Amino acid sequence: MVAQKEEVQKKFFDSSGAIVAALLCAQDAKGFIESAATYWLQLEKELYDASSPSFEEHAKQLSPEIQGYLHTLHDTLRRAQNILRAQFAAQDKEKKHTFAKEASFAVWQEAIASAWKNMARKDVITGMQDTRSLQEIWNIPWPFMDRSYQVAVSLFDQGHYYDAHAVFMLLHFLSPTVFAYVFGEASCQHVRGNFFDALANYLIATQLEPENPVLAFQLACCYQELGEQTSARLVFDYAIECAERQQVVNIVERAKEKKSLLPALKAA
Amino acid sequence: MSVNSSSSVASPTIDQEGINFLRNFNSQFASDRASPDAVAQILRRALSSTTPSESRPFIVTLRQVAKRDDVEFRDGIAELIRIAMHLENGMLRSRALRTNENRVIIRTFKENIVNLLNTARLLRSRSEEPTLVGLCRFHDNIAPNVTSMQTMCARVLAFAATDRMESAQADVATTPFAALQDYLSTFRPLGIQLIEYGSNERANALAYVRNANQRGAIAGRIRGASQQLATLPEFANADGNSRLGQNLLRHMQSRLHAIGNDIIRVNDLDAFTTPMRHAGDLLMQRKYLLDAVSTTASDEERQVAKRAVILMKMKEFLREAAIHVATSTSLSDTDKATANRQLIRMGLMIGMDPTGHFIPDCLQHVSVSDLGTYAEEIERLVSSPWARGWQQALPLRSEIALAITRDAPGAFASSTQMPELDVTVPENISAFQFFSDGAANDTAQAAQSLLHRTPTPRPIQPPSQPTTPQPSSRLPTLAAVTGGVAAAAYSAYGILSTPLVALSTSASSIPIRIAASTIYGTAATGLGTTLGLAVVGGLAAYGAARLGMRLLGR
Repeated sequence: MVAQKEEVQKKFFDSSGAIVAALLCAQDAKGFIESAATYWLQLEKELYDASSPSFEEHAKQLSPEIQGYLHTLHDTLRRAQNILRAQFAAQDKEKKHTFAKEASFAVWQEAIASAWKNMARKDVITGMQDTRSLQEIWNIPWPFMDRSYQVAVSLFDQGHYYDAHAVFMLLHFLSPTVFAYVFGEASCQHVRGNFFDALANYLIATQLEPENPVLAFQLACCYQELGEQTSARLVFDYAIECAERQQVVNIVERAKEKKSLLPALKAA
Repeated sequence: MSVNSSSSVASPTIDQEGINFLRNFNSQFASDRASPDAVAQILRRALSSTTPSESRPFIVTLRQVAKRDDVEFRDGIAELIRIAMHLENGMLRSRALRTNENRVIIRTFKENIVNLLNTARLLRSRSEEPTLVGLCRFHDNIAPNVTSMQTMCARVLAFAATDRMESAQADVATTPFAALQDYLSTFRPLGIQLIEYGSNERANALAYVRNANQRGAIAGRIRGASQQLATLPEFANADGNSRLGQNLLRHMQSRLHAIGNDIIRVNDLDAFTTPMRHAGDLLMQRKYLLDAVSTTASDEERQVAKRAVILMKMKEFLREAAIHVATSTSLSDTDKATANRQLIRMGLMIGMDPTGHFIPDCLQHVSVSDLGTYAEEIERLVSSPWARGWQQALPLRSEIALAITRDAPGAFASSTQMPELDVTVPENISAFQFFSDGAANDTAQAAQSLLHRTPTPRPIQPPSQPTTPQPSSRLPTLAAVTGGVAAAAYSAYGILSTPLVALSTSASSIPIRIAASTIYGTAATGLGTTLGLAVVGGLAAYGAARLGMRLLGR
C-alpha cells in the first residue's frame, strides 16, 4: 500500500507540472481541464479506501472542486499574461527605459507557442517528466523574468494586489525556486486577507530562506489571523530569534508586540 | 445621458445631414479643434433626430463630463456607439449612401471612439480602481437583443475596461461581426474582476450570475450557508470565534465556485471574506448577500438587508474619501487632520467600532430616518474644503442617495441634523488606516522591504540536509513536508487543531526548520515537486482538500 501511495504521489507531482504548463499555454482550456480532472480522479480512485460514500458519489462531489480550481488557475495565468502585455506596451510607449529584446513580450509569446506545439504532440498530462523549471525548459530569458518581476513589484507598491498576485503566481510557476516570486505571491494573498492561501505559500518560501525573519514574522501573523494561536506563538519566537541574530530591530520589536497580544496560554 | 434610459436615445436617420455631421465631427476631432461647445453642438444635433433646432441639452461636452464623472463618461461613450450603430445600419439600408467615402467616414468615427476610450483609460488610471458600473449598465441594456455591432461595441468596452486597449483597438479596426460567444468569453473575466472591486460592482457581478438561469440554485446555496452562520452560537460573539464563521464562508465560497463554473467563474469571493474578520462585518455581509440573491426573504429581512446595503455603501464611500485624503498632495496638513477626524467620526456614527469594523448589532439601532441623516452628513462632508476637487465623490454620493431614496423613501424628508453624539475618535490613526485595516497596511510594508531587496531575484539553492538522504526517500520526505503545509492549511478547517505542534515532536525543533530541512535536503527541487506543492496548496485552499490529503498520505 505504501509503495502504491508513493507511486500515485509521484504521478500527481509529475502531472502537476505538466498541467500547469498546459494551462499557461492554452487559450481555451475547457476540454483539457476536464481531462486533467479525470486523471486526478483516477489517482484518487487508486487510493480510495472508504466504503461509504461510494467512489462514484465521492467523485461527483470532488470533480467540480478540482475543475473549479483549474479554471481559476487558468484564468489567473491568462490574466497575468494580459497584464504583462499591457504593462510592457505602456512602458515601451513611455520610452523611459530601454529594454533588451529578450525582455519583450514577443519572446514570451514565441516561447509558449513553441511549447504548446510540442505539448500537442504527446499526452500532455503524463508526458512531462522533466525535473527542470518551466523557465529552463522553455528557455525564457532572465531579462523577461526580471522585467515581469518589476511590473509585479510596482503593482504591489501601488496597491493593486489582485493584479500583482497574478503576475507573481505566473513567475512562481515558471521558476519555483526563486524566493522573491513565491514570497510576493504570498504577500499579495496576505494583504488581501486570504490568510489560508498566504500561509501555504509562506511555508513553501520557508524552504528557500528558512532563517528569513520577515518571512517568519509574516507567517506568524498568518497563523494568528487564522486563529492558530499556539503555532503563532511558536513562529513569533522563531522570528524574534532570527531577527535578533540578524539584527533586524523592527522585526524584533513588532514580533514581540504582536506576541504580547496573543491570548495567554492555558495552564496545562 | 444614462444608457438605461432608452427614451433619451434618439435614432438619427441617416441622410446627407448625418453624413455631414460625421464629417464635421471627424475633422474637428482630428485637428483637436473640437472645442467643448462644438462637440456639444454636434452631438446635440445628432441626437435631436428630425428637428435639430429643438435639440435638448444632452451633454456639455464629452471631455468635460469625462473629467467630472467617469461613469457618465462611459455612458456617453455608449451613446456615441449607439449613434454609430444607427448610422451604420441606416447606411447599409440606403443604397444611395452606401459609398466608399461614407464607409471611411464611419470607420474614422469609430476610431474617434477608440481615442475617447483612451482618454477614459487615462482618466481612470488616475483613480485607484476603474469604475465599471457604466459598463454593467451598458451590458444590461444590450444583452436582451445582442446584434453583431453591439457585440463589437461590448467587446471594445470590455477590453477597454480591463485596460486591454490593444485588443479594443484591434476589434474596432477589424470586423465588427464578432460572434456572440466571443463576447461572452470576453465578458466572463470581467465578472471576475467586478467582484474584486467595490460592493456595487460585486452586486452587479452577482446579478450577472443570478440572471443566468441559476438563480434558484445559487440563492439556495447561499441562503443555506447564511442560515448556518446565523444559527451558530459562536457567531454572535465578536472576537475570537469568527474563525468558525470564516470556515463556513469558505465552504460557501467553494460551493459557489462549483455552481458557478458553467456560468461565470466566481473567482475571488475572498473579497467577501476579507472584511469579515469581525462578526459585525460578517453579519453585514450576510444581510448583503441575502438581499442580493434571496428570493424568499421576508419583508422584514429585506428591510434589514437594505439598511445593511446602504451602510455598506456608506462605509465604502468613506473609505474612498479616506484614500483621497491620504493620497492627496494638494491638501494642507490642517485639512488632512480635519478630514481624518470627520471621516472617522462618521464611521463611528454609522456603527463601526474603533478598529474600523461594524459592531454586530449596529443594524438594530439604525432607523430609516437615521439613514437619511447619515446621507445628509455625507453631503456635507463632500462640501468640506478638503473634498474640493475630489471627482470620485460624485458617483458614490449619488449611489448612496439613490439607494436611500429607492429603498427607504421619505428618509430625507424626515431627517434632521446629525446630533452631536458622544464618540471618541481614536488618535494617532488616519482615516485610511481606520477604513482599510491597518493590519493590511503593515503587511504590505513588511513585504515591500523584501520585494525591493533585489530587482533581479534568482533561484536559491536550498539549505542542504544534514543527514544523508536515502535515494528512495524523495516521496515520503515530500509527503512529510507537504503534510506540514497541508496540515497547517487543513487546520483552518478544524481537521487538525495544532498541526505544527504535532509535527514538531521534539521540543528543540522549530516547525520551519523541519519543513526546510526535509524538502530541499533531498534535492527534490524538480518541476513536478515544486509545482506540485503549490498545486496541492491551491487544491486544499479551494476545497478539494480530500484529494490533497489522501495524496499526501494523511
